[in-house]
Amino acid sequence: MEKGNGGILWKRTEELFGKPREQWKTVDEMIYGVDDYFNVPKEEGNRKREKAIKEAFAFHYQNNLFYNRFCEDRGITPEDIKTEKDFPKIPMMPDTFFKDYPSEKPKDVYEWLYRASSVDIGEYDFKGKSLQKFLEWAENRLKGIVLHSSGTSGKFSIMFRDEETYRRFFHVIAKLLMFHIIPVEDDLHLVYPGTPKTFLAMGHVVATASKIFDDEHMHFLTDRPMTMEIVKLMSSGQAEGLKQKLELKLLQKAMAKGQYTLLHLLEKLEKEKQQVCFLSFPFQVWDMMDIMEKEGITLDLGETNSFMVTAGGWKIFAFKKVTEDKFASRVEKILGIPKENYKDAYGMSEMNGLALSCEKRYKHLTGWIYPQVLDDDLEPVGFGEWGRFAFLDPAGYGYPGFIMTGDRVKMLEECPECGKTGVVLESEITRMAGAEARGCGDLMRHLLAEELGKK
Amino acid sequence: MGSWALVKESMKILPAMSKLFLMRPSLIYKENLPYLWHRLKNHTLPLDGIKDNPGPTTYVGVTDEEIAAVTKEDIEKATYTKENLKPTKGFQVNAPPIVAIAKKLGAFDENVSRREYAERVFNFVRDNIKISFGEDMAGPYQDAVSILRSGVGVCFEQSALAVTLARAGGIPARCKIDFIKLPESIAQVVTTKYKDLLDQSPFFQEILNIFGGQGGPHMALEFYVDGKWLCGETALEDDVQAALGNQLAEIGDEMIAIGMDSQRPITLMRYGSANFTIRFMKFMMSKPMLLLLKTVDESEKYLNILKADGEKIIAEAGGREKYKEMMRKKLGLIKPELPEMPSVEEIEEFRKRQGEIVVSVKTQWNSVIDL
Repeated sequence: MEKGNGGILWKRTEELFGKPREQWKTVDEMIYGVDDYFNVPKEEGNRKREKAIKEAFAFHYQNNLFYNRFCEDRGITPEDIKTEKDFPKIPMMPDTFFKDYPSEKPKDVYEWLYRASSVDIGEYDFKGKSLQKFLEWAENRLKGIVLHSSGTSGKFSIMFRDEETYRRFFHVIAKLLMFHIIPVEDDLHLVYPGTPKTFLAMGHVVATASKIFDDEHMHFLTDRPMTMEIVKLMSSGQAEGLKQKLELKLLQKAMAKGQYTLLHLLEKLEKEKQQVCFLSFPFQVWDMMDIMEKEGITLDLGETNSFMVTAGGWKIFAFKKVTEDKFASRVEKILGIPKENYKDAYGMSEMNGLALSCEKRYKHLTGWIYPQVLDDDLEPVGFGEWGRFAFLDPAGYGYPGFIMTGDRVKMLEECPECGKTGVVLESEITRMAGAEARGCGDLMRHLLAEELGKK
Repeated sequence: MGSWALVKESMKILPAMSKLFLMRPSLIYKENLPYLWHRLKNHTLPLDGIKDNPGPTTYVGVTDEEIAAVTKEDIEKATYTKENLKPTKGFQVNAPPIVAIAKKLGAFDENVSRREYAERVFNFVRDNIKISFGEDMAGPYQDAVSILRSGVGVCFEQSALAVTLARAGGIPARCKIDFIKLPESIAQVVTTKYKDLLDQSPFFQEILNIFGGQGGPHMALEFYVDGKWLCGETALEDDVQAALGNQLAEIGDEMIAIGMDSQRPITLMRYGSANFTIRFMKFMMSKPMLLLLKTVDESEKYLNILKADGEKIIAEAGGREKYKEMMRKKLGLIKPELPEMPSVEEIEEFRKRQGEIVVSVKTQWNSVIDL
């Protein structure tokens, strides 16, 4: 598929997630103006990243009173950030910040958002009591996207992206999928074994990204909604009433049935020689491959240049975890997708970029992200050391994208195996001890496991 | 919620547990059944029912002399009739060994505050009654006095003893059953640091699978102190917590605060006596274990490795308090202190001011260009 005036998928991407060149800031040059994110000369990449981060820091310092005070408490102003060497001084917020809203009342969440945001989100005219409906309202108001976490600790993380950040984020995702794995055809079919009707992180991201496809080319397991109430019921057992329980049951039924529907769909697409982009969680694919192996089903999706991207890790099922290479081998054996066409991605709701694994299974970070690994005292450690992952993301516009995560990583200055550029993370990414569970993968597996276990 | 919720949640575990039997039939008939037969022949298997354990006649944490020194007045002091205080089945609040320990911990000392006594009871059970799968998992329910004799137990019995001791000192107390789900960090530690042990123990693999995946029931306690119910997790002894990289448990800590639950606790049931439901639960938990007795006994070995590791970690940190301080620092840093959220008015004022600055800079720039 060609870019520019070429393929229809790219045209749709430009329409939905593009930005006129005359409005580009430095970070936009890195996002919109680069064709291959993993082939950027190091010096040029670092120079642009330095400029982009300085611009972003100054912007949030000047437009976000909360962040401004956070910086003042630490005695840091934009004048203190002169070169990349000063980046460790930039105050970072913990990822837990996104659940610091005082209550789940829509008005409270709105006020928290108003105060935490670097852009003016306008007046509150939402009428209703449901947080789910409020998120819908907020998404329309921001012309962006709102995601929530699985809420396993009893409270959802709520992540808001304004229009500017939303466009950047989805442009990156689309570009990575379309041009960084294998050339895609306009006839590409997107397959995601979940529901698009949710604000739960990965499902909502995939559903939004799928807007570039027409209905015939996107396939979800079910279109039954997975509301916040259902998510809460699944992750904490708290239900407001019978209605939610019933909805969850229906969703589980649909998902279980859908797992077999998915197999039949993949068989059909293989038969019709269609190219497939299969997005999923590792354990979900693993479970599906178990079923396929048990039933003696194999596919040859590689023939049509199909590819697979997983994300979300193995969560609590870490003891079943296999190496990425072993996983890729099984994908090749059972689904027929060549090992190099399988990628695992590392990302998070707060980051406008992804780390995509290379053939040698190192995860390459996109160039505008300034990654750091911190020790127990939150001091940066050198390359090659294990520690807490933190990053400065200049693509965050509505919120300061300077975030400290609960993930444990090891970072290398460059990939020791492949020639692609970018800082890399080793594939063994886990949660730090004491950090709360995050993400929606565990929830999705739970949703499938309950019903599949009965089969 | 109540008994039905509890039964329902417990029943969910059965399919997962049955995997242990179905997936590895040889584990049962080749290894475990001969072992069970050996145990039966040697009469080492405890019988069912709630009764005194025929084990050692000494009690943990108290001498025979101290028990003999318990007076009639002491017994009377520890005898209550109110709910959450009175002796009940399995919670022998005014039994001499219980009263002797309560007295030792300051139950009847006016200089010991209720909070302090609650802490002492909690610490006593946490530090003296060791968690043990091998000794206890397949055995009968142990009442409060029995567990003082055996010195080992699981969460059921540990919390029951703590509740009994608290009641003896006049603190209203009850047990509760929570539905818990292990957090990812536990899977992380176990699958990296203890991978070899996990590979050798199908029992622990399934425990992790159940409690990490669908979740399962766990027993804890609640003490009523200074006008509120404080929870407590006596099952989480220090060595195990340190080995798993967690903060050490204190009275008042929920599971989520000490790294053993990924969610806000969901209480399925509260109880104050070893009633039918509780005994039935222990029965349901322990009887299938008879078919896996060797596997369960062997898991004790792995638990001991964990405990030895944890003991070393605490010692290297310079003792319990130093370890706690180190963990407080480590965990506290995850959430650094953030400033107060500004008010809406402050933000409006700030944005107005910033807007003026931008306009003023633009005006100056334009005037430069004009020149």
